[in-house]
Amino acid sequence: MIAALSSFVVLFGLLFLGLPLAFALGLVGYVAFGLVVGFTPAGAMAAQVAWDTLTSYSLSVLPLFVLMGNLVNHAGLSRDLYAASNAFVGHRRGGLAMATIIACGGFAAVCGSSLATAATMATIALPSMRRFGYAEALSTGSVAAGGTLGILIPPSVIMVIYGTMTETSIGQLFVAGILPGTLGILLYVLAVLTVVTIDPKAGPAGPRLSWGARFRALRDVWAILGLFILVIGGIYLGVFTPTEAAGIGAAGAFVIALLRGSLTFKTLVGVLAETARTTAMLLAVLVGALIFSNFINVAGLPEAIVSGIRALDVPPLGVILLLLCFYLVLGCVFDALAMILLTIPVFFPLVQGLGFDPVWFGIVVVVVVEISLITPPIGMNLFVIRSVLKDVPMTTIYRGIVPFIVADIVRLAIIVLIPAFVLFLPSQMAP
Amino acid sequence: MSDSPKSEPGPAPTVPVIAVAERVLGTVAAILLFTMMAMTTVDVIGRYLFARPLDGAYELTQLAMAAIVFVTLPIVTLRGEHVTVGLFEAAMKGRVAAVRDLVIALVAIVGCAFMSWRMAILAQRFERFGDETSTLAIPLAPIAALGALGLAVTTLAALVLLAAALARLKRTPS
Repeated sequence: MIAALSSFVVLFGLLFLGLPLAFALGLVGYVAFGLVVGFTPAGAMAAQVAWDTLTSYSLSVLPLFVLMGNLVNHAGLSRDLYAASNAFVGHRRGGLAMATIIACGGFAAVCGSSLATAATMATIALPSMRRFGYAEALSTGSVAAGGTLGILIPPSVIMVIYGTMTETSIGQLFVAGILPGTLGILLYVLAVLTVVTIDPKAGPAGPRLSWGARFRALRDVWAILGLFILVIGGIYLGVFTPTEAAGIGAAGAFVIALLRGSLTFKTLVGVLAETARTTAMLLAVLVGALIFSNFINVAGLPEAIVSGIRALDVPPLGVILLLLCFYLVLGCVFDALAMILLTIPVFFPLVQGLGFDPVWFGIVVVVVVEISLITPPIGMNLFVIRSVLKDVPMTTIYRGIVPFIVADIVRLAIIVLIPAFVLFLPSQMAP
Repeated sequence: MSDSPKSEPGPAPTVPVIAVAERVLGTVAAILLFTMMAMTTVDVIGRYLFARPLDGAYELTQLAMAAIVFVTLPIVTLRGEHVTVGLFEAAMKGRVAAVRDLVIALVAIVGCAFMSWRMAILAQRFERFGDETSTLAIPLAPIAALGALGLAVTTLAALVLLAAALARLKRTPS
């Protein structure tokens, strides 16, 4: 117990110094494992974990889904998505901000990363909202919040990592993300509506398009919808495994990019190499986290916490609420990936021991992590916005995100209090 | 999160040899990844439309992913693209930042050299026991050896980072 806690102190120290997660986790995990069990088994364990992780079939969804997102983005579909959403809601007050949220949701359906979603939409939606005289707080808030949908609406990098660490079905996690993701879109749109009701000048209405123009705009985004239905529908019906779905999705995105004439041999190699780098980076971190997590288990931390909580006699839901508070505070300063990797090895056994559903807890964690992406002072999505709009003060971005954080808390409450909302779709899946 | 924006870009590969090595490794990874995608698609289409799945697609996918990571890890390290928590990095400047990069490079060198050695031991074990995949009987030892090699090259990449940090430390006045 003492060993485990001191290892966390050392780990945080190294992370704050700026040591990459992969090295810090691997180093502390190896040394601590070595001190408890011996250094020869620790070395063998590290190599075995690396081998098992890199050759894990279920993890091969990562490169393939990342590739799908990169190809779709490269094909310029994200721009079409925004134009199409805009054609339908842009004439309303706050319509461009709503269109941003909807387009983020659509892009999230083919992209598994929140930062990628926010970065993509920021470059498209922010200039457009500025042109129409939107308040900076509203425009930056809608992009930052909409971007978080990337990891909740399947596919999702974070769900793959959670599923791997906890041996939970990745397919079920994906399907479980659909309803909460849709709810997220609705609540964010409501947040926009609330803002423009209070201050109509924040989001002036754009021009109204004819129905013909609307359907013409829609014509360009059928591809995204088709890909999503093929990929997630295939997983849902048990037609293919998540890895196969990811492969098909990537191949489909490749064909779309080819048909749209946006792919040369050189750019294809560039997109592939970029995807490979993202994969190597993600898997390196995961190897480090699993080495560290092996130490945590050997040190008996999860058991100690479970028996400690049992002794306190807190009701299970009370434990969940405590965990959520912890996550929300941690999220103010921690990055999404780091949060998952550091907390899941400790919290998951506890939550499972209390009898909660692993798929449900996975969604709860993803939603909490989404919130962490937009909570000041350190929210990665806020920084992404800032890197696109350098002339907007950080305080404006902080102010703009508040209504969306409120929307997120409402969504979190619904998900925690009504587990069936999350678990209904996965329970209908083909076994 | 899959592409954390860095506070500072990694040192650009200005030496021609490094630039060429980076291009070659990137292209190899690109070919492997494209093959992985095509293989999965052919397997699924073959299975459903022609009742003829691709034999061993499962294990080829596994080995391809390991190879992609081993080949790409040196580039990621060289470019400084590893994820960090990114809390106080922006606050560190000048000499402090150079010292931090020095420490990071040292840890990377030791860590990657160590993992390379352990991966070589694993490769030897695979070789001794004749471990192979179940369907296509592909021997595992060469892939693990590729891992040892990739990690050795990553150690070299970290050495380049160390040199860059040292040069920066010498340049920045205290």
